[in-house]
Amino acid sequence: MTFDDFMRLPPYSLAQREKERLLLPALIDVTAHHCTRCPPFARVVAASAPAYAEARHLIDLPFLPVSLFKTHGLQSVGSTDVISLLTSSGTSTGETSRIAVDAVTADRQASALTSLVGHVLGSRRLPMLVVDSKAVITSPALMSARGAGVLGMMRFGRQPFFALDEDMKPDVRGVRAFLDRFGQAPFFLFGFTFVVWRFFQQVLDQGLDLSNGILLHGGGWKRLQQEAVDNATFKRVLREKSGLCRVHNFYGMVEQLGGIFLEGDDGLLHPPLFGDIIIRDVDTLQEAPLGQPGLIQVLSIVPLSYPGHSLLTEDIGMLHHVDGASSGWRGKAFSVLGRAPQVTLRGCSDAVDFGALGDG
Amino acid sequence: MDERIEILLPTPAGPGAWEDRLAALGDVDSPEPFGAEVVAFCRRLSALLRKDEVARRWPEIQAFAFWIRPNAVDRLRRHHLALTPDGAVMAGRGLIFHLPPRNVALLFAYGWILALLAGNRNVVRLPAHRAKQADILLRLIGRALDETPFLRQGQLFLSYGHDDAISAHLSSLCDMRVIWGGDETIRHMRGIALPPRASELAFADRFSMAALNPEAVLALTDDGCADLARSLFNDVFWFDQMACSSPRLFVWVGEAGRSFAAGQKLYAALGAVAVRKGYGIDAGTLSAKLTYCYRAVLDGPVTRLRFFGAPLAVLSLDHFFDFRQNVFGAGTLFELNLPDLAALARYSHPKDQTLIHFGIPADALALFARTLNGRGFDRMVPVGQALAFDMVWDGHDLLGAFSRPVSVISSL
Repeated sequence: MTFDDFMRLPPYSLAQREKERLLLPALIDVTAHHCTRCPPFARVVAASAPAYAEARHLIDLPFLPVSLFKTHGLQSVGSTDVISLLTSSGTSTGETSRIAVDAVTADRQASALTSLVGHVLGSRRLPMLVVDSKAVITSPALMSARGAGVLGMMRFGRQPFFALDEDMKPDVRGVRAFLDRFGQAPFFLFGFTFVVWRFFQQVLDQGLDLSNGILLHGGGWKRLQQEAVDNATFKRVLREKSGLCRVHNFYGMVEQLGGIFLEGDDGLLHPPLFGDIIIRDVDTLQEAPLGQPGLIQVLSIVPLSYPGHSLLTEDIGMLHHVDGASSGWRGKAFSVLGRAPQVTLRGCSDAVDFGALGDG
Repeated sequence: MDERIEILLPTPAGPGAWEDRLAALGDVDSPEPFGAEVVAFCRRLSALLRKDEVARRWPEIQAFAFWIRPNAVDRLRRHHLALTPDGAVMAGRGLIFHLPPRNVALLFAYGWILALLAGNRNVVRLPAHRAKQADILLRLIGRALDETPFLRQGQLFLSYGHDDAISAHLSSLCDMRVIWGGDETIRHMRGIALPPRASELAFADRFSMAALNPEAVLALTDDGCADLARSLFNDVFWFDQMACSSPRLFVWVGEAGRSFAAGQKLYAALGAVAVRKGYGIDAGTLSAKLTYCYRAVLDGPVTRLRFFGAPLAVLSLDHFFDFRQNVFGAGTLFELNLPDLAALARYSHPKDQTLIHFGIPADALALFARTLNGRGFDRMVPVGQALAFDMVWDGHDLLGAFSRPVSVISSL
């Protein structure tokens, strides 16, 4: 099955078994593609899963720990073909992932995202309220993940309005004008989870009616966890204070743009047809049973310009059910529990806390 | 300074007391080396550790209890006696300031008890974030000290954060400073002055490995292999493989194909023991370990990466590769095949400390030790004993180091 064939199928239409039957050969092909074009990746495959072409299950495919993109230039195209170099500082260590995207992969990312977002927003472009500042897309040469995310999503809306001003303060008057004009029919809201939450905290009592809105938000809960705000609280507050009830969280990362995992009506995240999720048990590294937390591995046939099609993340997740969603979204349903804590094993060299070096 | 320092023992610590306590350490008498009090104290502490419900669950604590049992202390006493020069009496050095490592939770106890037996007063600085077994041991040391008021006054266990001022104050009072590694800490502490007559004992970062005979492993029955795996589990997994004597490289001495087969057999057994013993890795450590392993594949001559459950990762080296400066614990092993032990001598380094061995004949080890010619290795011990504490450590006889021979020439 070609990439275009995958794109033609509705993203949550196949049962897991059938889906894996189509996805496994496609991912083997993508793995072979990267093996011939990215020598470091070929080394990893030769060392860790030399027999991947005979893989019987998705879990037998080789993967890369996602943080390798912070230390190694891993790409499967010549540098002259790279049209954008995406960066993200995913962790507190300050190291940055560098993801090389060429025209082909950019197209694939766009198609993939279209098939997913279209599933939630419908095929018509809706007026769009971006819950962020325009500054995130007008600045630097190196695109941040946040700016790339906003730009990527803006293609699905029309007449975008930025709800925050250059100083990240809510532009309440502007938002009211947007709602006066578009609020009587479905419109699209997009933002990063913590930005959306901050925005709503500041405008909650302004009586904004967002009942026709459809919100897509992602970027992680880490900052909100500190305030004990979980998905249920988030949705309840938005519903009660602004009437906004169509809220879809998503899980995704700059290392695998295009293949986001959308929250269905069941409140759980769902992998699309052209990708999947594996929860790896931290004791066995094998697939964790339902309901047991493990490290999240993400699979996607989208990336061709860099070997990001099978990544072991540093996030902890849990599988809830397979093919069991009441909403009719088939395949796996999972949730993200958070980021695995950063650790450093102490060697002798850390014998005492020596103040001047400011160690841990 | 008071709020920055926590007195752990002896309890109870009154507020603002640490400088007084410290000053008091200068006044109290040192115990007599291997005198009745310290010997009785060891017997009491050993018994407490073996009886305590909680302490019994920790093999590392039981290993320490065994190490200070009466027979063992008597062996130490005889060794101490043998160290005494003719015409001299062995005294303690005075006040010893111990800086134990964070990674080996109980090492502080071994260094401290040897210094105590040798007749010293001690200040032991422990990390603020201690392993659970360290706190259990401290609690019981505290109880034993409470029963021995004379010793109690001369022993102080404390904890403080980044504070060179406190380290400098403690250093200025001591007669000897002991830094249990590693290189960075030694470099840093050397900037903090000692009194002119004080001395220092410092243990630099070390590296350890194993030499295994594939034929001996292949000859093992399943039970025999399980026994070997249990011994190796202690060597590899205790202290999360972060002790200086934790092996990080397995050298298979023999033919390549046989070495591979022996490795498959042994690693499967070792991985199984680790899972059975419940060696747990949290998700963060596992993530970091996977990243380390994959980076090693990208950056070094690693031809194969295998996992035997999450606890055991094995990275096969195509040829020797010096990763001594960049190691990761928690069950991360490199392996290398060499035709004979002599070939290993070429890659040895002064940093190499312990060689654990299995199926290697004694004469081969002796020959290897001679060919090393100063390039590394202070000890070669059978599998299962990598972490056994020895009173001779990194080439230092600790009882001797903690003692001061006083020449006594009688006029009669």
